[in-house]
Amino acid sequence: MTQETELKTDKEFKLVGLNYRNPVTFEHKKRSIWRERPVASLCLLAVIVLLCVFCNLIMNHEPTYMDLSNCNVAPNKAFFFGTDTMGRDIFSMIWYGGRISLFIGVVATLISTTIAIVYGSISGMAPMVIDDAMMRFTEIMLSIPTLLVIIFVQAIVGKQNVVVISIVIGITSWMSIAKVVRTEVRQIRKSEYVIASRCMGASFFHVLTEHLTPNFVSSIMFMVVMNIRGAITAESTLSFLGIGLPIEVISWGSMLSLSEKALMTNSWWIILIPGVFLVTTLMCITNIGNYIRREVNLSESNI
Amino acid sequence: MNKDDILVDVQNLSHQFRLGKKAYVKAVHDVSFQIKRNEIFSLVGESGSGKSTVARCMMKIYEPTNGNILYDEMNLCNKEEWKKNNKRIQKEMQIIFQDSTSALNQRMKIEDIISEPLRIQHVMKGKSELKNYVMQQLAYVGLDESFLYRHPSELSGGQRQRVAIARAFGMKPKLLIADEPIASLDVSVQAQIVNLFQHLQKEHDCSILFIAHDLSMVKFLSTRVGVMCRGHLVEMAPTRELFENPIHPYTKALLSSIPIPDPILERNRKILTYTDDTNLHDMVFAEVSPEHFVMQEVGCES
Amino acid sequence: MNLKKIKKVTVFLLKKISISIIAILFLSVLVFFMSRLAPGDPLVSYYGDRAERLSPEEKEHALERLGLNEAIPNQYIRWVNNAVHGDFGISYKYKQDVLEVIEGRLINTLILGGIGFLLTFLFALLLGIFCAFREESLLDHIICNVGTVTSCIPEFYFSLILILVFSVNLKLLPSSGAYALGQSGSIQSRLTHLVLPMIVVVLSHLWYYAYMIRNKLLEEIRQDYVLLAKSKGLSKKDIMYKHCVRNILPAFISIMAISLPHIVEGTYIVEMVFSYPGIGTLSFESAKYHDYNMLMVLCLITGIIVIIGNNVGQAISEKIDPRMKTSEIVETTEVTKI
Repeated sequence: MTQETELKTDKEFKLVGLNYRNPVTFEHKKRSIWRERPVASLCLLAVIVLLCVFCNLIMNHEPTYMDLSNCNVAPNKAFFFGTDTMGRDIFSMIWYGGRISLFIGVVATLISTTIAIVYGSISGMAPMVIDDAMMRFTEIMLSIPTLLVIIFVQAIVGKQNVVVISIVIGITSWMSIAKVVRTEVRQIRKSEYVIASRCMGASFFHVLTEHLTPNFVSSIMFMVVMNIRGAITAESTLSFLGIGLPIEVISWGSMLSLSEKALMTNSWWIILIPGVFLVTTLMCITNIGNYIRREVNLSESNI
Repeated sequence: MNKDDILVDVQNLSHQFRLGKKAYVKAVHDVSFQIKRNEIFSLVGESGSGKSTVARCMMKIYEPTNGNILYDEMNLCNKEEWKKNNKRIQKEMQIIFQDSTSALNQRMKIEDIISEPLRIQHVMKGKSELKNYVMQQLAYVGLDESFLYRHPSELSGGQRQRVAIARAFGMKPKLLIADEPIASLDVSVQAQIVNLFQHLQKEHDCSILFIAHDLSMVKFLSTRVGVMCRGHLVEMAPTRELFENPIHPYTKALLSSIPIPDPILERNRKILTYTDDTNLHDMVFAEVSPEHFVMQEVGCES
Repeated sequence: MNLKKIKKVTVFLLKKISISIIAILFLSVLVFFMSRLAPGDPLVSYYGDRAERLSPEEKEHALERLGLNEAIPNQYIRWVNNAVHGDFGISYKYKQDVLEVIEGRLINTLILGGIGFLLTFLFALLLGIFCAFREESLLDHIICNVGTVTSCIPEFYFSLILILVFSVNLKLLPSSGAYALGQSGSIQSRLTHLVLPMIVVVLSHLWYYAYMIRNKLLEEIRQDYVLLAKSKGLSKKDIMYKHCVRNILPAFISIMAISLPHIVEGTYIVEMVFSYPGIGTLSFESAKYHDYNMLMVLCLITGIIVIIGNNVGQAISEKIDPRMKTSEIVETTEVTKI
């Protein structure tokens, strides 16, 4: 039966000369793959991450072992990057501590992103009054100086370990992403496919995962990547100031917390080398983030 | 009209929108009509007459401020009845929107779009069964398998609208509300879609509430027609009766504005105008001849 | 200006101010309760090591004297009462009136932070315009890369490196304090002490905003009116300064206002590393040593600055782009008024 009706309309329209049945083919524009991708950053970051994860294979000394007879030794054949004021080998410490810094960065970002998405979505789908109140609350939270909040929470919780710091950094950095999510959700919510979905009986969770998230993910991708960078920076700043990880737990930040003493002895390797790794990692992440931002903009401007 | 025949009974539906603090707009004012089973009922009127609002109220997108909507003798406006029956109603009532671009999620594949209502209502089990069913639905609307993996942005307007129709018909609805489905398409595609509607309605045995402002399409497609003007339903009759014997001055003006595809007749066509000098609030919707309702002043003969 | 407009503006201002006051109150409650709940003994900061050797009665007595033995909500009410009258209590560590201690340091922070803030945005604007002019040239690429690197360096690390190079190795510039001992009035001494912290504060945020301005200008240049101006014969410089820069200024000012808290935080960290006697070091000290009164006032000051910045930025951005308004009222002709 279907074919009959189709043939009928076919004949009618062939007279007029319309090609309404021709399939539309799309030629994919051939863009040079390597031109704008942050290949160097990706590779460098991948190398650092792999070396940190598999640090057991390349470390030649025990990172936590304090060899007091070898304090403040400059880089040489035995200790590639030298030792710090407590006699630990910096080369091993970098890979071992890198794990923790990266872990904190990723986990804190995961926590903050999840909170931001849920909070922003609820705020976006809620009626006006609740939405207003939720946004005011976000702004109030934003106006509290984050460093002080972190200090407080640390002081209250008492023990300073990796998980606690991740959670603390996570709950202080979700605000800006939540704002963006809420604006996007407000816009998307008016789209008819969300209305159609609700007419079909979808639950809030279904709408969130299938419709809302894929559509605002591109706008927040950049912010999420920058959040990773911010989390790593925050962790190192806190450890440096003495309120983050204790000195016994090795991370790039806690390695730098000994640097004030290093200034007096002019041991440049204690300050410079962990910092170089920190800055390199942050740079790679920033480049990837910028690339993502450019990609998103390009795809939306029909170029 | 037999009571078993009636699928939807809209009684005194009113809806108003709040603007700001002290102002409101009455979009729909005291509209009543019935839709029988297996018929195509059209609502026509110019832009802003409240047709889309009626459709959305029926789908419970807006909560109507007044009135009752009885679907198969269940009152949708009654909260308890709605809660008890909403799963069934959400399966049996489907809607197609005017703008096919925003009605489909750009990031989903066609396969996922069509299977979405089936997944939400847990109608089918098993991915392969779902996929076969989706392919069947696509075939019904005249699209082939290759469309399964495409995104809406890769399709033309007519194809997108067909995907929306496939999505709605996939649930085997008893009532389909089509909110101006052909308004944004060009004429040749309009013809295809209208043929498709006719064809699917016969195959699936459902009723369609067809909202349009193109009177010639309405004449071709529908069984009964209702005419809306500024939120009021001014006339309702079977199609032939309405086009041959319009009673209300607004309907007469509307019909006189249809261009005739014959040069001589077209040159001699007179376009009537309708000035709204009567207060529509004083009117009553009365049956003038069998199944022909007109909004008249109280106590007036036809 | 008619009455209606004046009324509208006053209502708007009152709304903003009342929300700000609520925010500040909320902040103060939060800080108060958190600081009381944090473990650690304020007596230690007051009495130093002797606190551990106090007998129980002396401890009780001391707590009563300092007003720490009451229930926490009562303490808060008492604090608010005093605060409204201008009495913010005594700093446990410095044993002076809190306001006195802050007064001495506030100016230092304002100098560092305020001048840093202005310089950052001035240079960001100039650098952004410079880069926009020479888009895609070699110089632009170099500046972009260098800028990205500098923006990635954490502030404390930057400070460390500068101290290492300039103070320890080259012995050119001092590494701590705001002025040499006893020379608080000498401008030259202040300036030499300001150089390094100022470099850190400015450079660590410079590229972030310069990049933003560069991108905004590049977008602006691609608008149609620039094409028109060029075809009329205006020179590149004229178009840039007379049209494009003016058009992005409102957005720029709102960004300035919103980024205030960010720069304030950065200033605090820099102060800590350089042991610069300002509010930043004071905040960290008071947090570490549980000096509650000091902490409350400092948090309030920071909070007020941040809230004002946010509000001003929001107001300006709402004015420029009405789409960003949270509430929209549509006015149509066919409306029945109640």
